[in-house]
Amino acid sequence: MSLLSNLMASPFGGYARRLLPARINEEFLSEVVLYSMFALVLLLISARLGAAFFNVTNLVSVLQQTPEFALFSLAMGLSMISGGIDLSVIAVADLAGIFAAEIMTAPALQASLGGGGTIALACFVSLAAGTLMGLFNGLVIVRFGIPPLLTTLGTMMLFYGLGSGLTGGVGITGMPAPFVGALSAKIGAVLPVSFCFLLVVFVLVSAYVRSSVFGKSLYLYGENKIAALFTGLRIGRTLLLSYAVCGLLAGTSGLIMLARFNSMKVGFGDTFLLESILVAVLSGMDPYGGRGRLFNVLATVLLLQCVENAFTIEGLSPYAKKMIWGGLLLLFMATNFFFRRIVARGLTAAALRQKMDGDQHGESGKEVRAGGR
Amino acid sequence: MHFARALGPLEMSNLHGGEARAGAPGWRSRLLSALRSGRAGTREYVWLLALLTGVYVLIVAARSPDFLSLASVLDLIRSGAAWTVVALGVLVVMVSGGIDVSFLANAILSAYVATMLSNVLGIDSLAFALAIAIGIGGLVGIVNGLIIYLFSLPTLITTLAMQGVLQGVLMVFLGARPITASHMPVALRNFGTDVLFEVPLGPGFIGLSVFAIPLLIAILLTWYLLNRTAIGRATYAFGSNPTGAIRCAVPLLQVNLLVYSYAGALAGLTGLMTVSDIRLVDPVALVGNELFVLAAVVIGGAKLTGGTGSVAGVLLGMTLITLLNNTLVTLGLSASWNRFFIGGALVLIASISHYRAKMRNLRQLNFENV
Repeated sequence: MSLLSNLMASPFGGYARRLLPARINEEFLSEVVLYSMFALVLLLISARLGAAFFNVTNLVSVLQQTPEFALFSLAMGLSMISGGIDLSVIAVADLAGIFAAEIMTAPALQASLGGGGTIALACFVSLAAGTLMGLFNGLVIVRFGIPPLLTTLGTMMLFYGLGSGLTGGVGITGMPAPFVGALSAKIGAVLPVSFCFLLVVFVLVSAYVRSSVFGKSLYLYGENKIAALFTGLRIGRTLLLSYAVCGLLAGTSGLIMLARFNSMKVGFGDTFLLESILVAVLSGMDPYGGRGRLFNVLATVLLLQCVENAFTIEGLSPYAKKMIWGGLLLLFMATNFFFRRIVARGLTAAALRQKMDGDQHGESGKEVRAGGR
Repeated sequence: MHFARALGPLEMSNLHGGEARAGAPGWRSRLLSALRSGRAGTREYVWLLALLTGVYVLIVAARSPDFLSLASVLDLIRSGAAWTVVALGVLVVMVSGGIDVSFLANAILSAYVATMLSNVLGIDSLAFALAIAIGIGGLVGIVNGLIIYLFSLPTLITTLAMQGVLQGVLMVFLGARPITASHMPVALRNFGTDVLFEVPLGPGFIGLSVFAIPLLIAILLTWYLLNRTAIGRATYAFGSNPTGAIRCAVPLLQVNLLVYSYAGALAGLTGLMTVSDIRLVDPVALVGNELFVLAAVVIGGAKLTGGTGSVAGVLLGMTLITLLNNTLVTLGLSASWNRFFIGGALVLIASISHYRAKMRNLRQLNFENV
């Protein structure tokens, strides 16, 4: 270990450090790892599958399958910034979707509001329900001081149970055609509208979190809770808002899932839970909080979706996929740990050495000047 | 966040103390003030939980009077034994401040390998199957503990990833398919049906399942481990204050290894108990029910932040969960409401216990979980 770290740290110490970017930091490093992995995976896929993967139909279908997964991952990443986690996203999406499905399939509403009105009402109700469920999570976390992990574990059961109690565990099917058709709409016959919508959401959320007071205080809270508390930031409100946004994103995802499957049932999309945690961690969000860029989540989702698509073409079983994801998650977290530790150590040592060198030069310079006078 | 409020309970509890000297307050105000001031310890909490369970039993008994009988107690032990065993393992993990969600994947993997090896080697013995299952469970636990210790990773994400890996190993590398009762070793089938003693009841007999023995052993062992051994106390210490424990030279690696391997070994035992109970080794069964076990442990008073939790609490929590699972139907609600009520109970009880801890910490100017 010490030999390895010495080997890895030495390039940062000597003159080789001049060749590195001036501000090398952990985020930059994990981004380098992420995007080189992206390139490597695409290379591997093209070597193995070639035209079976790289044709327009397949690539468009990759884009089209992305939105709900990407929204879950975005919510997961957002909750990780503050050092929390939101395990209830899937349950929130399912329950919001169930509300929407119940409204859309109610004949009485169809008759009084008309087709378009019912769809609008259903969308509004499910988004509002998602936000409210997120607010509930945030309220419990902020008010009672329960760790987010436990809170969302409990509310996950709560929302799942509410959904299965209301529907009796049976699926609701038969959504109106315009609602289902909206998902497969394309701009210029190629680019899916749903993906454009996703892109807009990503740009908005990540830009807001990156540049607003809300985002800054969220990062600060994730980095050091007690310090954030003592700065007098409105931490309670910030956390509430972040969990509400998680709920809103999950609700949106529920609507998209409803349109995709043309039906809704509790337990839909359960596999997304592990995958969205994987995406959030792979994209460099620190589960302990305070680090990571939300926009990288989108790149990671696309990467994973490509791999998943390639797996499907290869004909792997879902359990094999789950195993690969789990193994990948462990591997990535372990390498990340090493990178962080080694880079941090190397940089600290280098900075110290430089500082000491500088001090010596400075002092000797003073002496020379003093002597000269 | 709540500086102003932090001072509130301090004065409130002083006020309550003053009242207590003036005139003896009833148990209700004592309980309320204890809850509010965060003075109530684990013991009071366990009593509160017992009270809650008792009230629920009375409600159910009011609906169906024959619920209050020896038969339901025996049935409760039988249906709750396997889950309680694994819950005790999870308790130890939670006391150390971690969480384990890989235990059921571990359980079914261990049980599957034990059954398969018994069949392949032609060894029809319960002791052999138990040794294999517990051994494999413990090994998986050691891997968990090592990964978490070496890379200092968040326990939830590590064990969640481990769950996927274990399921994948079982389904892909072992090519698992369900083993039906006729292909299971006789010793295992008997393990599921044997009884210690029988009492006549109605037309037939009802007995105390042999599961009571592993249950009792697990209870005593966990209690002894947590309360009477140095490493058990170190686990509590590490859970309640990691930095302090490290500075007191608590053997971190040993604690990690012990905690996760113990949970893994108990998971292996649970796996074997479950498959002999339902007489089917289904590789995709079990996984997905982790939440019930976690809920039972948390309802029993364990905190995710570690350092609290007791064996008695877990037993009561598991009793409450098993009762809810088995008796909601008698209250006129379909089984699909199970998760709603268990989730609600979980959030409610966790709110109470964490709110108390928060207030206590605030009064000591400790801002850990604000």
